[in-house]
Amino acid sequence: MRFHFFFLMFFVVDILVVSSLAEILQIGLMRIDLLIPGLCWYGLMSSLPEGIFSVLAAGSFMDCVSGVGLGLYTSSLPAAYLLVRYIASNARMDLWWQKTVMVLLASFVFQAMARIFSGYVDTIWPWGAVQAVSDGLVAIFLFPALNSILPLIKVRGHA
Amino acid sequence: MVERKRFSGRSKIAVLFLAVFVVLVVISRLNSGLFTAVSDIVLEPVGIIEEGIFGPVHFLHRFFRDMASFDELRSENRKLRIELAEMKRQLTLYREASLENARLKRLLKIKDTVQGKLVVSRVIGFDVTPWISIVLVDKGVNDGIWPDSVVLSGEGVAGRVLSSSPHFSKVMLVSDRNSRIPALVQRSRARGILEGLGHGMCSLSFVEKGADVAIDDLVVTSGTGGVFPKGLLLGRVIKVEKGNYYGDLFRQVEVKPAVDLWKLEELLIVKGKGPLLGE
Repeated sequence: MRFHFFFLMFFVVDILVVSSLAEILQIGLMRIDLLIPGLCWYGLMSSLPEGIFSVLAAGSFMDCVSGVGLGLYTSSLPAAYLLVRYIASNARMDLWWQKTVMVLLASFVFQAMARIFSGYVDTIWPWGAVQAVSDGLVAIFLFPALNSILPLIKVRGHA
Repeated sequence: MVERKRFSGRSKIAVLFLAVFVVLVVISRLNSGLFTAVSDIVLEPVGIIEEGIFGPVHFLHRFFRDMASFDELRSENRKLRIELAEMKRQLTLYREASLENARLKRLLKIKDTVQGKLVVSRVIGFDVTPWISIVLVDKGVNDGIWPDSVVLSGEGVAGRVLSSSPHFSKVMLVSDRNSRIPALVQRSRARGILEGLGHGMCSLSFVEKGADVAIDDLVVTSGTGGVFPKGLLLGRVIKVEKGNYYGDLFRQVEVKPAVDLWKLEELLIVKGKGPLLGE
């Protein structure tokens, strides 16, 4: 339970930081943030069905604070999460570059989905792709950092 | 006899000195340039000698005096540093206030051009989605702000309210790709629709092929559509091309919005429920 709560807090804090510092983090039509790499890390660490509820909650929160069509993030974030779960249950991802490629793929799928359904199809290339690459690179640093604090969150096997 | 001779010798010397003195005084009165030259010749070596002697003495004097007052200097230095930091802070505040004053004056100017009650709001954040140009402001339904309220900045039209909660609102800027505003070129009255391009730029679409549009023309709201009043500045034409997107029926006109998304701080929002009609 604590682990899921941590993910939600991580997501909410990241959204607030990204909203406040958008001016600094924005490059063209993409932004350097931890949202999708964080979601992918959570996807690797949590299993179905309990993980999907946190992702749905995070998506609903993101929908509330964003100006895009209602339900876009509530549907696209779980889609990215399920993709990560599917890949994780069918492929080994022990090495850092394998995880990076997985984040890149999940991020690109998320970007494509979100940009298509919000009416910005022509921004998928190049900005959606650049965002996906950025998320993959961020994951290289984010995954070890989150893994290092994982023992502090999971106490005596209570996830 | 000897005494008399001695007196006579002393008298001669005294008279000689007196005579030299008188001569020097007369020369100095008659020819001051010569006297100054003589004075300079004397002063130069004396000055060098004085400098040689008194320089180190003076230095030592200062050194020991400073050593004695070292603690005092240190505390004074600390105090001055604190004062300097405070002054810098105050200077920053004054500069900020001055800039804010200039921005608010610009807002007041544009206030006269719009009918209806206006509310000043502050931009408090940007949308979490990087590909849309939406900002969050600190006024909502409780302040009379409703969806489709017109939003202005000191430079011109900033956008319109997308949605409102009791205390906050989301404002879609003119540069957003979903933004469409009926517009016309101020000089030639050529009509078109101002569309956001998403990266801080706009395009004036559906401008007739033969329309008179030139670079640096101002683009203003046309007043049609029932949301934006007529004559508000939207931007400036920066590029005009012969259109090929719509089968050569229309010209492609690129417009730089009067408002810069990343420089927005205060916005004016027209109060009232529903769209603003009338001009």
